[in-house]
Amino acid sequence: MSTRWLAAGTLALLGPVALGAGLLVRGGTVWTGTGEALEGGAVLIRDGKVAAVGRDVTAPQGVRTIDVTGKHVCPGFVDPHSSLGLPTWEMDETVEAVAAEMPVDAAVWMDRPEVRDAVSSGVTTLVLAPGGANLLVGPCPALKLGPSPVLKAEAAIKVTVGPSALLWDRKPTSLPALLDMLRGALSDTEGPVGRLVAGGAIAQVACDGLADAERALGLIDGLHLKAALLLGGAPSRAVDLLAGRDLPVVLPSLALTPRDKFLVGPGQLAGRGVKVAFASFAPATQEADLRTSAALAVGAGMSPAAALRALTLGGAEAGGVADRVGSLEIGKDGDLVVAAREPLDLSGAIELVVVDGEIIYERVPQ
Amino acid sequence: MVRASRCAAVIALAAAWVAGTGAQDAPVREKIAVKAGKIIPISGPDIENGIIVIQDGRIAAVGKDLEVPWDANVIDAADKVVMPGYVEAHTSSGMGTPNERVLEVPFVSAKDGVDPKSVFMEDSLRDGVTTMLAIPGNDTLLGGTGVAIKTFGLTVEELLVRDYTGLKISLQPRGDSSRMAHLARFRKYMADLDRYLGEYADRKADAEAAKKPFDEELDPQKQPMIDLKNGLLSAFVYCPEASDVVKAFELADEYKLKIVPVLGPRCYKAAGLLARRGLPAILDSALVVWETNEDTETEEMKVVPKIMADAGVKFALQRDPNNYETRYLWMAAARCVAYGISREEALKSVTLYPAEIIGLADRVGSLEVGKDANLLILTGDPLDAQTWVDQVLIEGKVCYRRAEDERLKRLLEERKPPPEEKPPGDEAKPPEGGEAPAEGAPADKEKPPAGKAEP
Amino acid sequence: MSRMAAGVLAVGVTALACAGPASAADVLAVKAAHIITMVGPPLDGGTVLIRDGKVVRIGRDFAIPEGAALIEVEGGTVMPGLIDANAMFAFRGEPNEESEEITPDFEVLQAIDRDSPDLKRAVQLGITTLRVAPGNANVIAGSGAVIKSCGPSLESVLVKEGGQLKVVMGNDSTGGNATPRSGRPTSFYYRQPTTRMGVVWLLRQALFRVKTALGKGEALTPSDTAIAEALKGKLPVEISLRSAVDVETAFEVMDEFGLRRLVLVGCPEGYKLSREIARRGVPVILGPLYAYPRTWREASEAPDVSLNSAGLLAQAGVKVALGSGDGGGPVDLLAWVVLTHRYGLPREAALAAVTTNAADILGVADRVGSLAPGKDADLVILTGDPLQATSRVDKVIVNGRVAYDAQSGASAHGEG
Repeated sequence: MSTRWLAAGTLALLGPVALGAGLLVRGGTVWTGTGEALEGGAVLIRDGKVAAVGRDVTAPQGVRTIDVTGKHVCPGFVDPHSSLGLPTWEMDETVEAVAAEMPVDAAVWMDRPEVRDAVSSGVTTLVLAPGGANLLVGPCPALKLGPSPVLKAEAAIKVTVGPSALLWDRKPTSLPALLDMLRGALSDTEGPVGRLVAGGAIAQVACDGLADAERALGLIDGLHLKAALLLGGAPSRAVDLLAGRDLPVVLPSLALTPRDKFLVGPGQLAGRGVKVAFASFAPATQEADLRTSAALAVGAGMSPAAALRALTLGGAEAGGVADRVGSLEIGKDGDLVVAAREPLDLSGAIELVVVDGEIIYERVPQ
Repeated sequence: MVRASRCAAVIALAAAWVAGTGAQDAPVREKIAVKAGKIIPISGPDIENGIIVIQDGRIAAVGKDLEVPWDANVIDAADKVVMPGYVEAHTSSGMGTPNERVLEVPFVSAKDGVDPKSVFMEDSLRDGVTTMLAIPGNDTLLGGTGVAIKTFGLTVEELLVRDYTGLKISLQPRGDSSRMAHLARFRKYMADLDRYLGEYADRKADAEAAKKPFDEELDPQKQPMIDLKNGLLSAFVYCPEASDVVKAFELADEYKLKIVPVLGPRCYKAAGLLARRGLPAILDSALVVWETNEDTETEEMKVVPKIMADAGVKFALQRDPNNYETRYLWMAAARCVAYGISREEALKSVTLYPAEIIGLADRVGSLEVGKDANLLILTGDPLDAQTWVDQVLIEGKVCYRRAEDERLKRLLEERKPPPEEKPPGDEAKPPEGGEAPAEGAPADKEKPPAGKAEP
Repeated sequence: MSRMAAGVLAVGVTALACAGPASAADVLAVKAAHIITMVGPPLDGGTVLIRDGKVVRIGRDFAIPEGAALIEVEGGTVMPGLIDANAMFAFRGEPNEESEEITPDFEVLQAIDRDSPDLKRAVQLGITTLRVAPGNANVIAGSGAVIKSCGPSLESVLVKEGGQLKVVMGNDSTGGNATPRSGRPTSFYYRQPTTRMGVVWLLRQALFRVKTALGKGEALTPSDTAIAEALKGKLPVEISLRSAVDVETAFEVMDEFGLRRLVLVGCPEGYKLSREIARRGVPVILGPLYAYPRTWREASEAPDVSLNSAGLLAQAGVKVALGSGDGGGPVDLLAWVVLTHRYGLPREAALAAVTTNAADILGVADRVGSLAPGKDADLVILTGDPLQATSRVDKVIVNGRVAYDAQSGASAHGEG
């Protein structure tokens, strides 16, 4: 797996700059993703990890310094569910309904324009997942859009609770049998699914609409799954259902719809304490739509802090990689984005993207 | 005594009609007086204990304190309600296949498709529909011409009230065709027709100039469209969607057509348009349509006749004989009342308004002097679900009597003699109580299922 | 309380709807000119008092508690919410597990979409309770579930899980099985059966297998357990069928395997055997109703319907309920009540067919089907008599909350 991504990764990058000794980004407003914004703050990355964050960080010997005064620095965005690089006709392998040993990345074509475009979106980490025509597929890797792409090879399994996983000539043809098969596969600790679950893979449970969401929650609760919910349908209608749960909830890009029932959902969910994340479900939307989604959510009432969290730490939680990415904390991966204005102000371009301490994108004014 | 014997004669005559023994001949010459407990004339206020005098198949008088002519046969309906027969302004039922498969067949006539002996015709009479416009269905562009018929007669000729009434134009694209192509096809037909008529006029002028004989006859296949163009026929334009109503108006203006919109169930959104144009419309038999409000994710019930009435659109109701809930015009009218439309308007929408729409308001749709004596004698109020049509008079003749309706009896009663009661103690007695027979019973004593095979 | 104030409160209740959090309006008084309780004679004028979703009192001479929301419909009739005893809609995905023909442990509850547009329509037609049944594609199709048409959560809408073993006779389960369908490499077609004979063969084979296993005391698979329950008489067997011939076959199977609890479903030709059905004490869930066959299955299996099927069955002593069946969505059950009554089903029986009889047959009479203290507060308020087509549904109350109000057009399903 990693070779494919490594090769592809280098291909995709716009001239990564190897900065073995480290990187100091200073002078800008730093949104760490955990607390208040630090005006005139700095982030020091050494050996690919965040080594220091604060106002009085100075560059050690040999560390390259980039002055971003007047600009804004935030953690790299995390897309917890993306099929980036999967051609639309190869999104699903339907020979088996439960396919826990399906190498998802095998179908990835890295030499595609959308992969190159993704680099400039600010997304630095994504969980690569297939479509929804199987009950269960995995393992889904968490990947970096950087020189060492594999963050976690078995980060997630994708579970689908809904009619999209039903085919007319394959067992199951109905939701009751689908749930039965899922329960069987997920509770078989000896089987390939059980091995993935025991290995810490997060179950990303896709559902569409209220009724499916209730069934997905039933499955998650009944099996005590480490899970995230990929919530289709209008999120505003599921607020009561999800409030008070310690369950990451992944919403598709808001760029897909102008309707209020979608736009107000993220704010309502976050307001009730739900850990919200946005996902591109690429190729349904592009990685760049993630930031747009957060901005639209703010426009519909979500607090900017919650929206930025959804874009970063929320995505990391939903991808099961919050220990590595999602915020600018010491010890975490050195992934950051520099934007010309506040991170969610779309009139400010993304100027610089750093992954594991290396600059993978630098905006060149045309 | 004279009256009684005459009355008996009428009944005997009526029985003969019901039995269908004789062909219909000229209208009955006698006078008939119907003594009604209540008359609902539609055209005016209800009359308690009124009298309707019929002469030569037409209504000669309607009123409360009328003198019964000494020589009239009297139908005593003193405990019944009398109203005009229901009129349906549009139906394609009872014709077997209601459409040709070709898009442009303006020259076919529903007259050749109507089956006087169809169950539909029989049901129509039984349910009190006395007049209807049979017209080709909605599956082709230029579907053909309609025919106004009554619902009693052995042959189509006997059914005829007025031949050559209305031409069906359907704006429903066929198959995978598009609306663009569909309308373009109509316009092409009209352009071709113009060219044909232009050439015809040229040839005629040339012939006249040369003083040569000229064959005046127009292409009979084009005749209905020529009549449509000249305003001699109305176009019954089927509009499946509200946007098609706009198209129908455009075509009407463009080609100076007289149109009657025949609306699909979702056309309620065109109510304002119809009102502004002052056009009456024929509604679909589905009076309620559901619309999903995408924002609230609720289902909104749209009551089409109520929306039309509120907008000020006159409408006629239709049946769908294949649907259990929409088989009756009385029930459609009753549903309108349920949804808040006045009783008067509801009754007009199944009598006078459809009569107006098909241009027969001078003959049917209400009980007025001079109109055809199409009468329903009902056991009660027309909108009461327990009311039955007791007798139907069409053009002064009793065409239907419930007492002699054998099929209705069969429809309501058992078809086949009940199976004989088995003697008590028979093994088919319902198993009751006790432990399950299956439990503890040795398996080898069980009879295996006949024809059982290993899968 | 003045009428205007009452109106305002009523609107408030509507806005809150049957979803949403509990509110101060947990006490609701419904006043109407006529109250049909289905347990006693109809009341001329009275009030139904509702507290916490249950009926607490019905009558004329009691004071309405302070603070209660009041709904008053002048000249209106209150009756128990309608029950669709055999609904086959509101599914997510297919209502059958078609990878096998015999799926006794299939629970349709897991396929129900309680948020479906069909249920949102049903509630506006006065239907407050539905027994949703599995589809007709399998010989033994599994069990259904009784749900409310409206509610804020899965728990609040569920009335009863399972409760029957659905068997499908006739040609429904043979469709498409005769020729291999072109499919993907893993396609499970061929499926059996392909004929009506084959249907009965598969049914008897399954019953025989479990009966034999029971006799030998062998361990049962989860799938066989449901059949065993039916053989023991603990679970009623519901046979969905059309033709009179299939009714006779059903009775033969009933006798052969000693099935004690049978329900006939669909059954358009059952009227031909009404006395035999009555003699066996077998109830019938009629529907869909039709005057003339509309599908080729109806035309081939039961072309010969009586308009008065329900009346003839009831007259013979059969307990009759109405169910929309495979019509593809909710039907106007009240229109069916009006017409079955017109064709000969007595008034009381016509009302019972969508209330008490349905509740009895489905085993949920302790909660729904009638208005009495302790029962679920599921009410329909009509503008007039339920047996007249000139009446319409004005308000619907489910579990004590206004789920639909024709005046405001509001329906509760928007909240969730």
